Amino acid sequence: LGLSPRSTFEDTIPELPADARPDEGDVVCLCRQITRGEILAALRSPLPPTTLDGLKRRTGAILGECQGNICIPRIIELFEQQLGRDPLSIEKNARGSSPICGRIPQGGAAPRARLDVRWGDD
Amino acid sequence: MDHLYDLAVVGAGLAALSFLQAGGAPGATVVLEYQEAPGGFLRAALSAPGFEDAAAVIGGAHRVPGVEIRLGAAAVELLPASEPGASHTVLVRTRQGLDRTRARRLLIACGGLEVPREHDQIPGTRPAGVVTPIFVHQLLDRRYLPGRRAVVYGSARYAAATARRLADAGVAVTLVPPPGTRAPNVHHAVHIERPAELVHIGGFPRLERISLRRDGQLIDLPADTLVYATEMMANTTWLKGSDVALDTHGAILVDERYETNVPEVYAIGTVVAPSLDHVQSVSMGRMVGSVLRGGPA
Repeated sequence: LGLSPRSTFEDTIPELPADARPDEGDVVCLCRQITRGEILAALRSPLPPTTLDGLKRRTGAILGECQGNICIPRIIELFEQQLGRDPLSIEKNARGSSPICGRIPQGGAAPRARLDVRWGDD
Repeated sequence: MDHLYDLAVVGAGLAALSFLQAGGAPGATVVLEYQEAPGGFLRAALSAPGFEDAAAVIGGAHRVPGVEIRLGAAAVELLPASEPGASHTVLVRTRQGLDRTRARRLLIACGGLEVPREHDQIPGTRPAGVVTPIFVHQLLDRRYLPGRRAVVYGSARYAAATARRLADAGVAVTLVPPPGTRAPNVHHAVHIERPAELVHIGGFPRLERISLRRDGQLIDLPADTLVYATEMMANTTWLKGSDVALDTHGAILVDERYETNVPEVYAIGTVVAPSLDHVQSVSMGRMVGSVLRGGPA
């Protein structure tokens, strides 16, 4: 095979080859360890994916043990940020498959959130 | 980047914060957390009744002197010490890219992932609207509604907290305890079914109905959202190749001192004992603190 023996080993893994930018190295899809840069690179491509399943097939995100339950809300934000898409318009695959049904009106019944827990300095 | 810590903690959820709050850190300590805030995936459920213990731990715990908490830092690989006395290396991805965190001792408290419907192979279609609690909490945090008519399938206090939060947001919620379990304490706006087995999921592209079986009878429930909240699984895929021993379900095996088969690598919390209720996380955090300071388990 034309392989040559190596005597030194790096105990690290290479930076990802995607067209990621320097400050986008954090992990979005925890199960598959797919980074923000990898997802944004797919969304910046000349023909970006238009659905969550499309992005899943381009990047491998959403395909892990949790089936996207952790990362899809973050990925929807990246669609909004990179492509200007309205989060309510983003679909899983077919027309009518949006994971978001509507907005909670401002000033309406606020859902019980983490706000009543004291978070210290952040 | 090549600073050597006395201890690296993977995860800043209930178990890790319990450990820190009990004064567990034995020296220069770094905490690596995937999310942008401490508290783990349980954070969103904390204000619900039944989580007072967890809320007390998570509320103030991250301001521990001498402990560096790195948020948005996901551990992606563990390279254990090559010989006794050498340091462990954790590969970490942050915004700035990949870096290596070295520590003499490692405490794995990276929790679990909610088991999705796909894992349990519930038959039927695969529509939008079939989710787990963490998905619901993240949408509500962003002021989005995941649906209008939801069924929460589960009986843990975490399932109840999710049902309650959905009801507070104006969603019509029915809670269905799985067979052999009892419905948790939920407030009046949540309709509670008697225990039944989820046997089918129907509708496409959006969920339209689920089918339950109780006493040999099939019952159809209309719903546009199913929150599948039955179990946790340990979050251990990042440990592949590390030699840390896991049980057949992927949970980390530890001895009575919470040490794994790899010397000076410890593990606590949901990653050891997967549970939606995180019942042992607080006590494990306290106990491993005693062990790491040289005391009894």
